[in-house]
Amino acid sequence: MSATDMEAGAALPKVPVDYLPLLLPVALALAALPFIPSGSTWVTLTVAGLAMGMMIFVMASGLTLIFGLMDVLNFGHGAFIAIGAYMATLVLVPLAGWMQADSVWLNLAAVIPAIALAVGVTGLLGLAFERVVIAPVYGQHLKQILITMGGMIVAEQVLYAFFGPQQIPLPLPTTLRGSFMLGEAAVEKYRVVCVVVGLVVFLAMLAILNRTKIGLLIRAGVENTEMVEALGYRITRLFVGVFMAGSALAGLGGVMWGSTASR
Amino acid sequence: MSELLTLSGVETHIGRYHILHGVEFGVPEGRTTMLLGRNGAGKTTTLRTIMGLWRASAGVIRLGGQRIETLSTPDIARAGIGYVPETMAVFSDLTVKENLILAAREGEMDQTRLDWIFGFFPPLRKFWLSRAGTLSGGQKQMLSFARSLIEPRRLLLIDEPTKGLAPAIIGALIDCLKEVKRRGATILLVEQNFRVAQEIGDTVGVMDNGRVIHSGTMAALAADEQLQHRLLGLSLDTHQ
Repeated sequence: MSATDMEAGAALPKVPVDYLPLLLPVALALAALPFIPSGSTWVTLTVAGLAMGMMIFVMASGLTLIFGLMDVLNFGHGAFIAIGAYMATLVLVPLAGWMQADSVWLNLAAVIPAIALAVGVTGLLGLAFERVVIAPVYGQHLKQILITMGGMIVAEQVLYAFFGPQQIPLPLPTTLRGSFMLGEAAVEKYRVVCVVVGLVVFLAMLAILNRTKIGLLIRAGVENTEMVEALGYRITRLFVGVFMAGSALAGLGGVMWGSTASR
Repeated sequence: MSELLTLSGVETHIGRYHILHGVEFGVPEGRTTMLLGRNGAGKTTTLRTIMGLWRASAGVIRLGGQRIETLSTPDIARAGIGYVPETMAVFSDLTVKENLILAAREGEMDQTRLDWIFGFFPPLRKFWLSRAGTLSGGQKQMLSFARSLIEPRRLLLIDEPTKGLAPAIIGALIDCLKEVKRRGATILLVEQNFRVAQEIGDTVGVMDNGRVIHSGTMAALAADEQLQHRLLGLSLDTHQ
């Protein structure tokens, strides 16, 4: 048997798992410990910081998808965050009674449609935005900046026209009000939910981008759209899907942020 | 032998430049056809036009009798054409494995076929989980080849595979091409190295100024030094 044949029969290398990046938040939290006198305060602040970070992550993940993968500078991304929050008010304000009820099911019956509406509308608007505004300026950063800022201004004014200039409070469901007590540390329930939602989004994105063919196609398409098409894939459709997903994530982030800001 | 691919009166414009001026030639099924010519003759443009990466502004391209010049690039690829571009175009940010997963369009990679490819290109196994961007030029070309071979294709379009590569790598590529050819594949290969062309090619088309100015067998061209001088401005003796 030749050396080549022997190599052909050998096992393929296995993927090493890199846990190091996951330790960064833990290291940062521990680094802050000496500067906070009380352990319970440290726990409360750490969870609050994580929750805030996760909300920003959910909103920014859409921006990252769109910029990092499609090389599109979307200065209108903030509009999708605002639209998501406003869409949630369309459901949560009329269903304020369900939100105040002492029933998890009634709370969920209000929250789930609100999130679905926010994510659905921002996703569909993302589709329209990509086709009408972004598609003509692919590969032209300066024009992308100008036109997406224009799009954001238009969206902002449309929101004013429909919802008025006053702030609309986005109520929290009764189930998510108040705190858990971890020893002497108070941890707000809503912040824990934000951390969990952020983690779910993070893990889902990680799995999709690294473990699915769609993820590989997105990463490959960013690098060489032409070659992906020469392999037989319709990359344009995929990019539209990515833009929709990015916009929908902004909408989800808008609901989360709106609920925080209204407390 | 019937022709798998035919080009009739194909014209291509890139911006305001008129590059192909009525290209006419055919690629016989199960044979390796070399496309030769000086730099700027239109060889790469011809391959890109067949793939739909640049649109033919006139003329007809048929694959197995079906017109493909109006199809999109993904549809042309799905019709059974594998493409190895001059730039290799491996996805640098993806691993060798991920590059091949994408190339295996129909589903899972066939392990037997993968082992067959590793037989020609052992570095691909060694660097299986390395990012393609970290590979050497020769290894990238191996990966680009492997991508086109991971599934059987009706036709392979290969653009200057030996350009700038070390002799040992060129040897591996030629061995691979010979084996692919032995298995009955149809190949259209652009090549500047006449020695390589002579070793692999069955038929040949010579291009100049966006036209095919000569078609025939590779053996006939290789045996006629005057014809080589006239068509290509070279001879085997001066191009080794």
